[in-house]
Amino acid sequence: MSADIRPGDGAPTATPPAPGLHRDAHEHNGEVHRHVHHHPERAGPGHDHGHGQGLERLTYLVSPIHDLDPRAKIVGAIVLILAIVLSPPMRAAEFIGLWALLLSAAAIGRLPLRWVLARAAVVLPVAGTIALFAPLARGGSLSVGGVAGAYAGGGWVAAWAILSKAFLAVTVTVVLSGTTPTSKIIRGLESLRVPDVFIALFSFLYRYTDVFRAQLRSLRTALESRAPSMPRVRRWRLYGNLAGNLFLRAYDRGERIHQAMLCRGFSGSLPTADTLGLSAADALLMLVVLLAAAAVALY
Amino acid sequence: MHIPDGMLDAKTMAGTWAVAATGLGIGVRAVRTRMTDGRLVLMAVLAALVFALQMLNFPVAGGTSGHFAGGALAAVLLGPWPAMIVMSAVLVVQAFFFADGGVISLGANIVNMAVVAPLVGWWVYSLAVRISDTRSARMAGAFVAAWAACVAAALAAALMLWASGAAPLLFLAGAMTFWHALIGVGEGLVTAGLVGYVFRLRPDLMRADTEILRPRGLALSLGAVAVAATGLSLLASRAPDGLETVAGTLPSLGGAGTASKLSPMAGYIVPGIANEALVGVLAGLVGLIITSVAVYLGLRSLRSRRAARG
Repeated sequence: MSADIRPGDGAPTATPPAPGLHRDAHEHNGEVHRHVHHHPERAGPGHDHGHGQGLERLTYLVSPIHDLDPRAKIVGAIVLILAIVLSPPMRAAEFIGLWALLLSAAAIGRLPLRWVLARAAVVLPVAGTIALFAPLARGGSLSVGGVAGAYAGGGWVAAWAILSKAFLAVTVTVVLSGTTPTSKIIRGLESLRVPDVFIALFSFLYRYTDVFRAQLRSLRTALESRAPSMPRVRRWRLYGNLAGNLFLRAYDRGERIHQAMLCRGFSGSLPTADTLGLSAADALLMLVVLLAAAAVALY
Repeated sequence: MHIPDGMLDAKTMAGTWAVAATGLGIGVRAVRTRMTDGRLVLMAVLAALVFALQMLNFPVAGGTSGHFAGGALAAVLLGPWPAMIVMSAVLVVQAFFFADGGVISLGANIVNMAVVAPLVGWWVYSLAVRISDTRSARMAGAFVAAWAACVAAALAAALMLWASGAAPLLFLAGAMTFWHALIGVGEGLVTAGLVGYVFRLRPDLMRADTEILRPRGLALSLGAVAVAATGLSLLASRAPDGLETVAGTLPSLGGAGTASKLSPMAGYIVPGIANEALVGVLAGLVGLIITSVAVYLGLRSLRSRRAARG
């Protein structure tokens, strides 16, 4: 960044970071963000660069939960979900305790409560449908006998077990994905010995899915504006052509990407800028997770 | 048909993870030994495309909607092993970032949508191409492949849920097959449209699949599906839950003991449950055979008509 670029040119202004903030942290519309900057100078408050929306934006927030090592968080999440899944039907105290723990982790991680609840609620329609029929599998029926009969108690306990476990398990993944930048999760998986083929796939899914979604969206908009009242089956057949068009473009893009990677010295591995390091906070996280898991699975 | 966490029991989770790990192990080996870096990058980009295409959702009767899954499509475009890897990666991302399917039930979801769906889809499609290598045969093959893959994955999911005692088999298999037979039509139309479009514009890209039409591979994948299905039915037909039986004999295992007391079916072996499992699997296999015979006859008549004309 040379000195002759003036503020107002759309270029980042080289002002010192706000007091009390980390070198890479900055404030946007009342939110403190932190992420690796690709421009060499420290950037001012209103600096110009793209920011992901929704989930991506939340992973940039600065909090003690965001600072935890991704490996600790991934392993912790899996241990917790395993305990939830293997637990006998949960008692109210267990459910509320675990839920409170997850929500407080979300609160420390500055995730909006409504966002966490809304994302976790996604699982309820699927889980609810299966749960509704669980009493049937236990030998009851949905008639009065099933609702209130001799065996109904067991059936409804099974329904509660399905619903509560599905909801809690999803809340765990929502807190994990909301407080960990995707690149760090991929880095964590890599150091947890996930095969390199998968690491490459995750990186590309992260980088290019939105590109193709945007392309697909614009193709659909074009279709809608040219043929607003097309019969449904013809529209689906056209979707096939849109997908085919997208495939050919993706194929060419893939070849270009590979060439660009070769130009930049690609030799089979995908390096990342994120560094990992376990700290006392990660040990604390593991301790809390293990205690909670033991309580849920054994109580 | 993404199974969330909390519905499968321990034996089903362990069984599905074992099948998924075996499939993925073979897949990763095949991809590593056969693919150059360039093909790998291409495969990764196409994974992102398959994921993006899942945005396409079709309204199904009754206000519900299903979205494009792409298992058969990935198999048609990339071959069965890379398709397995691609679909699993997509499922992992869905489980961790979109609350779509559980983390521990990922093994089951991988078996359904990343192993069964691509294998069935690839098998049907390669059969069609072997019979007739025209554009319409490929499109018809792709349609049936995608439809069959969708229904087969749904049936596998129903079997798993039933094996865990989540709901009765008849309800599960009926509901899942019904909805996914409808969703499968949308899936088939998109897949057939894509195959037809690409075959017209870049037939060279579709040639890649002719090399994978080896009978050995076909027999292998069919065998894998059959083994998985029988394994699951065997798991299901055993005494309700081995863990619970153990817990019943050991009073010190308090947690599992309370669970078995709460469940009215604990320790109660349903007579004929083995028959039921066998019937489910047999029904699936018979359906698969009828479908493939129908496809075979349809394509053969198409070819002979074409031959008579030309």
